[in-house]
Amino acid sequence: METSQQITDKARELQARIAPQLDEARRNLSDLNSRVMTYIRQNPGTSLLAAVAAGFLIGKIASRRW
Amino acid sequence: MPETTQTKGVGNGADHRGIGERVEHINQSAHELWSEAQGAVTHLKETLDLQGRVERNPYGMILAAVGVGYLLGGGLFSRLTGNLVRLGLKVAALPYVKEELLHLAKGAIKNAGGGEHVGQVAAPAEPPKTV
Repeated sequence: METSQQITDKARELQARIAPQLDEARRNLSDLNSRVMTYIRQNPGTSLLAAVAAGFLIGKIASRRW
Repeated sequence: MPETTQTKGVGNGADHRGIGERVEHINQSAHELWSEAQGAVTHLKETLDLQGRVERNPYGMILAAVGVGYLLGGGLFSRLTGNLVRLGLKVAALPYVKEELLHLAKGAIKNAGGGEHVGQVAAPAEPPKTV
C-alpha cells in the first residue's frame, strides 16, 4: 500500500513538474503556427516557390541516391 | 505592292508617311499582343485562384507545391516514392482489413457458438428433458 502511495505521489509530482512545460510548449507551437500561416498568407508567391524548390531538391536527392 | 509604287511615285515625304504608318501599325499590334497576354495571365490567375487557395488552406498548398517540385526534380520513379506509396496504400487499406477481420471473427464465433446471438447476451441453455 505504501508503495502504491509512493508511486501515486511520484506520478503527481512528475505531472506537476511537466504540466507547465507542456503548456508552454503548446503555447510556443501555437504561436509558431500562427506566425507561419500569417507569413504564408502575406507572401504566397515566395512560399510556394520556396516549397517547389525544396520539393525539387528532395526529388533530385531521392532520384540520385536510389 | 501597290503602296510601294504609290510612295515611289509621290516622293520622299510619302515614303516617310508609309514607314510611319507601318511603325504605328506594328506598335498597335504589339499593344494588342501585350493586352491579350495580360488578359490571358489574368484569366489564368482567376482560374487557378492561387491567392484564394493559399488563403483558405496554406499548409495544403505548400504541400502541393512540394509535391510538384518533387515530381519536377525527378523523384517520381525513386525508391522513396515506392516506399511512400506502399505506406499510403497500407494505411488506406487498414480500415477495410480491419472490417474484414471483424467480419471473419464474427463468422468464426457464430460457427463455434452456433448461435445468432453474436454481440448479444447468450440465452441460458435449457436443461435436457428427461423422459
